[in-house]
Amino acid sequence: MTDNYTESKTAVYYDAPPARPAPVNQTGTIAWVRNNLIKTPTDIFLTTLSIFVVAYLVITFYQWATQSANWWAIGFNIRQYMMGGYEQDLEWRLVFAVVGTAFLCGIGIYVWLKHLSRVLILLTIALVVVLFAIPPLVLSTISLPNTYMMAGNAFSVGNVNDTPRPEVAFIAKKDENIVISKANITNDTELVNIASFMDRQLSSVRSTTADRFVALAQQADLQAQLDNNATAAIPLLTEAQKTRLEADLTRLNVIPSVTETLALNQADVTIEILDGTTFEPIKEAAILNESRETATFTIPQDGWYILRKTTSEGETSMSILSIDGIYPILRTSRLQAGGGFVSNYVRMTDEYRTEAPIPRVGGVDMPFIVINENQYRGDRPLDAYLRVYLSPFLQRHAPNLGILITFIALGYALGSLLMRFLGKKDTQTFASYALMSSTVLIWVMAAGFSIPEMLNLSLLFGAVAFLSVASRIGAKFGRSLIGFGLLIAGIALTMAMPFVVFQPHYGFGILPVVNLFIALPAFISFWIGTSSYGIADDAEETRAVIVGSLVTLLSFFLPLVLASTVLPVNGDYSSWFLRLSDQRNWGGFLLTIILTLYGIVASFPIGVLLALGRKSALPAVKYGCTLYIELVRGSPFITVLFFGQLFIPLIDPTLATVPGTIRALVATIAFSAAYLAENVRGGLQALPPGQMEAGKALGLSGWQVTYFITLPQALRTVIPALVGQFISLFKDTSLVLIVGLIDLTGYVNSMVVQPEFTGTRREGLMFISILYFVFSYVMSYVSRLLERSGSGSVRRI
Amino acid sequence: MVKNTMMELDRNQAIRPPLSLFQKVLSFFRDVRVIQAITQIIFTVAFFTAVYTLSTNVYNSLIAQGSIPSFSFLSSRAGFDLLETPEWYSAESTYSQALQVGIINTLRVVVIGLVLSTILGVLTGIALLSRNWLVRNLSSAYVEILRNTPLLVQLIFWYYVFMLEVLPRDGDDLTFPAEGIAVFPLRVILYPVLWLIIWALSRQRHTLKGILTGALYGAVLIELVQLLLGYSPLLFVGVGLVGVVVFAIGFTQQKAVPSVMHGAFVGAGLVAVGQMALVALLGTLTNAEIIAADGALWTPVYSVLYLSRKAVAIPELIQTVSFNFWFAIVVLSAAVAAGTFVYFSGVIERTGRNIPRFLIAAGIVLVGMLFGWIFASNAPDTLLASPIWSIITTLGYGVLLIVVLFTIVDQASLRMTKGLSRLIRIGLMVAVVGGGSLLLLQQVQAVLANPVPNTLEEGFVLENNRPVEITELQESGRFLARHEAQVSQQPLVVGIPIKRGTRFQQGVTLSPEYLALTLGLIIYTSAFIGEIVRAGIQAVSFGQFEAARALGLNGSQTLQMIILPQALRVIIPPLGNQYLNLAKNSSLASAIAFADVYSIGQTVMNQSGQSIPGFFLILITYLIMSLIIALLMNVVNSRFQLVTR
Repeated sequence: MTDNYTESKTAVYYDAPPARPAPVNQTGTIAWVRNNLIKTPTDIFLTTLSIFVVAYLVITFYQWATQSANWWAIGFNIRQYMMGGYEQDLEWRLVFAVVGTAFLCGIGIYVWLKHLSRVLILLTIALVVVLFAIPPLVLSTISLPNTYMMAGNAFSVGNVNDTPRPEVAFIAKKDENIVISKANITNDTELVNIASFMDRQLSSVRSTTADRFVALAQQADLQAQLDNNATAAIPLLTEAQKTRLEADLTRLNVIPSVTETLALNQADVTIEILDGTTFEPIKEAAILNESRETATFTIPQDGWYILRKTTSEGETSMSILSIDGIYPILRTSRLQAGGGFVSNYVRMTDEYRTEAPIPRVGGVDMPFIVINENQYRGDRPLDAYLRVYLSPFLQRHAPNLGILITFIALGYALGSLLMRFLGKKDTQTFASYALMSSTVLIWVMAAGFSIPEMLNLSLLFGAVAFLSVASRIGAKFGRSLIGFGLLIAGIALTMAMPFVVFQPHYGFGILPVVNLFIALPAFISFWIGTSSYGIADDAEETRAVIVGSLVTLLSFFLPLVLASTVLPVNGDYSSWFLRLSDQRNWGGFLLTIILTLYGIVASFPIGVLLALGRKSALPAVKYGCTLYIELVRGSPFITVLFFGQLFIPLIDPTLATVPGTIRALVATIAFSAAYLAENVRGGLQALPPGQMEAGKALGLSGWQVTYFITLPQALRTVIPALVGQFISLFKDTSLVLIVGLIDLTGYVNSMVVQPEFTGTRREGLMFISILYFVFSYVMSYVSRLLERSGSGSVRRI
Repeated sequence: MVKNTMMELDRNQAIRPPLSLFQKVLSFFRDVRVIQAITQIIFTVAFFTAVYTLSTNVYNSLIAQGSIPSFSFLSSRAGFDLLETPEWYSAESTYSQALQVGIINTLRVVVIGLVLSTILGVLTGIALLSRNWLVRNLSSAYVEILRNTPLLVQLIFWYYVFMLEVLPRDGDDLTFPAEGIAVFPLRVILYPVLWLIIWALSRQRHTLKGILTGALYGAVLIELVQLLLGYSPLLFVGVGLVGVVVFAIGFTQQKAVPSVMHGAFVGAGLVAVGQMALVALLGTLTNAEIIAADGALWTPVYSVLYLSRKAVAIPELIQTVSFNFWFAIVVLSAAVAAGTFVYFSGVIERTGRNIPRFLIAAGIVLVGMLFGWIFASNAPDTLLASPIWSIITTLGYGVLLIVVLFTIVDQASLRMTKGLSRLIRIGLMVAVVGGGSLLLLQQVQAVLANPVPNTLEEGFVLENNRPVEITELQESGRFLARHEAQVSQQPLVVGIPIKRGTRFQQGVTLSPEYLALTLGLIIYTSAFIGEIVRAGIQAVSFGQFEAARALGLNGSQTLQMIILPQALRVIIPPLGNQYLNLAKNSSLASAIAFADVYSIGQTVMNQSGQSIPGFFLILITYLIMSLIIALLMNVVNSRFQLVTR
């Protein structure tokens, strides 16, 4: 602004000022840190506190995971975690179902998640590297830790009185080298710091030594506290404390040095390896003494061997041997084909299995290196963790995950092909139907499929086809005598089917019960059809009626004709086509997924019907639905589960054999339907009534307004709440453990009871928490995607 | 003309021929109302037929198994013992008493859980909205982990891993506060005094804010030096001399020191010199044996909280003879406070003056408690022993209940008609007066039936219902709070837990099952409540906050008058849902062996064989609990919702 009265002497810049770099304090990372982390003193305090908390948690978790957690509990129980007791010879069906679902998911990923493809490709590459590159590297560079064993006669140190076993059985493969030497342990500190597999005697010696160090430290600490108190100007301890500390000090008992008590590693040890079947030494005995430090044996063939380690009679010195090549063994038993159990021995470090019988002496199994007694004790260094726990696990499961990734990639490729040839809308429809068919695939593969199921399904299909025929009959003939007559004839035929045609041959199934209740739905369907009477195209309706009737009759009679000509009646067909699996054996993650998936699929239509019923103008329907919804919502989930377990067998004698998993599924469906009904009701209430009025003004009948106008909008609005309910259902399936079913959470309790894996509850809980978290997070991510693509995102007004 | 109209009449009749009987019947069935009525009849008939068939099938199956459903089992002997029971329960109690124990345990979990999870949830919500990026994202990660893991997995972790493995073994209990000697160095008194002086001076001169900051830094430095180098008078003399130098520099060398640091130097110097003087003074006083050693006060500190795998012990409050008297005074003052609250609310509505009615009411209650304590501790025995105090307490409860209920029911936003509101108020008055009269009658009857028992002789207390001399107990070191409660006259005596061997001699012990369940439920529910609170506060548009600032409202006023009312409207319905979830999730107690109503109900059902009546009772319990919570939340909700037409 120029001043009219005075001449300005300031300089006027005609060129733009030279560009200077932006001030460091105001831009970039430093500015972000200043604004978000250290703006006020409170901020500084909170940031410091958070950093300490995070560092503490991360370090504690890392130390626990690598140094003291026993991850074999997960690795050796992973089948039970995933499938429970599912029949072993039917496992291929679950693999097929998972692979098929992965393929269909691949199509879905291409169609809907293409914007994530860069992230997904990076993730895949990272997974491939981790699974296929790291394990071989680790396995080739890091060697397994040695097993430590004690050798000698009876010893006594502290409270421990024990004798090392002179003979121990183990399994080995052909051409493996067993290298035995005396452990280099000269004092107590080195004894405490041993970290590897060790037998029970050495483990108790080691813990006694650790206790000794603790007692020494306690003694010094107590003495220091009492001395400080005596010399300080003000008293530092209350009277009660002082008496307590003095009593503790006198009670403390510090044992003398363990290494000296046992005269460690001063005796000569004789080492021999005997063959497990012939009890003959494979090589001449080796004596470890001052001149000879190591003994090496080469195993001639696969099988059982016995390690004999002895010192001379009367020798009081104990020795600790460091053995390379002998590792702990897990014993499991397997049900044999002809009945009876056969023991299965697995060497845990490389999963070398054998079913050869263990050597017996005097009719009793020999003691062998059982994992119960020979656990890895001590703080594990990182390379031992990688070599013993992580890499074998990854290597074992890498092919499975690789197949999974391959099939997802194949589905992705198919999706891109379809998109090129069919166009976007058709591909989306195809992908939706493909994903929906995965629910059928999973059930058929998991539960099996046989002749009685096929016949039940055909009757059900016929009933459903008849419903659509009824509406077409109504559209063609209207509310006239012919229409009613055809309807009644059709209802009679459908209701008679199970009795007249089916029962003499194959007994009455559960599904055809639907046919008995076909009257009311058929009548409603007929009535809905009559609202189009006179409006619809006559030729098309005639065609529809004829085709529908043919389909209904075919689905009633054709499978029966086929089955009765091909196979004899009333035979045992439980193993024809896909053998039925006993649902009482289902457990683990399989059970969780079955309950979640079929709970969602079945409770959704029931929930929508309940919500519509609650909104109905007819008081009987409205109060009936309200009563059901409020009753179920006011009860805890385990009450409903317990209700299902207890009362389903009581309803009808034929239902007494329904397995517990199906009862839990029915209870889950009933429970989830009530909650879904409330969510859908919220959506129905949020819809402006103008929509319904506009539909009526256009001449649509009540049911048409509901089906074409109300439901699509209402359901789209409540998708986030619905998916939230599905996620809750997924988490609530863990409660079936209270009614006795072993699902993913339930197996943790069963795992901890096994003597080989006691005290591994934290590992189990960590594993299942990660699984639950990953699946829940993915579901909520999908929910956010659906939210963004819904009608709300399209509406511009 | 006539002929044409006749023909028109004929044509009209030709358009509408008379209906045949069949057509009349058909048109009846085409009427919408008839169809609706028939559908309802069919639905009702089908529903009741299904229910009837199901129930008769179930009944017949049960009879075939040999157990006739009935409720008579409730009065038969239970025969099982429980870990956590009130004192009146034993294996000889009946099934109905066992179920009562279950209900008590469930209420213990649910009531504490609701209160604490709300508090923790609000704090989590505040953390989720923090301006600090680290705090915000960490709390978001915390909430996501808690919400995506099943509750049962979390409860198993809390019980099996935390309570049974992480907490120390019995004998190595964690105690709080750690037993020892608490030392309070007297020289610390200097700091607040000095800061007060500087602050008072700085109100008149502008530049002394730097002195305050300098004094703060100086104090921190001095304490660090003392911590690292230990305490010695020579050290403080040295510190004082350094302080003199620093003070001189700050005061005189204005040019050598940057202007912003003048005040800091002056403040730090003042603190150092003051410390030296004070330490010298304390040293002389200590030598003259006027105060305790080393210029410090010390006192032994005893633990009040014990944590171990076996139990958690907290202090207990024990009533004495004067408790009824004191509590009657408290209840009366609460009633008076409620009355003044209502009165002042009316004054605020009418005149618009800003009267602190909450503070006044709280003040009245506090004054009543304090003076009541003093009176009760010094009142004569005959006054205390009179039963009239418990009667006054009951009356006071009645008045309070009536006032509170009338305040709630009076809200116009409950949208009830005047007649219905009046009816409810009359009904409430009748219920309260009727219930109160019954209680009063009961008290009077009890007094008339059992005259006041003889008080003990002077110098004796009851132990195991036998009188024992106090001095005998004192000599053996066993004068515990329970005995003290019989002798002392203050209304309440605090009994801190004392551990002898493995048992606690006084104090309330909480089992690890109860703690694991309550802690797990609180932490799980608080994550959901945190998200709800965050969503509620974010639902208030930022313009509201800006408008409040433009009007000149400060932080707490904005929060209280603008943000919270709008946010609470969005928060309360889902909050009620979460409370219902907590009440129902308490049934997971059966997974960690806590005896709540569901697990006791299970045991009762298994032992007596009566599955249906037992199941019915459990269901009714949960339904009533859910109904009460839903009703209360509805009332609270209607207070906050917008009153529309």
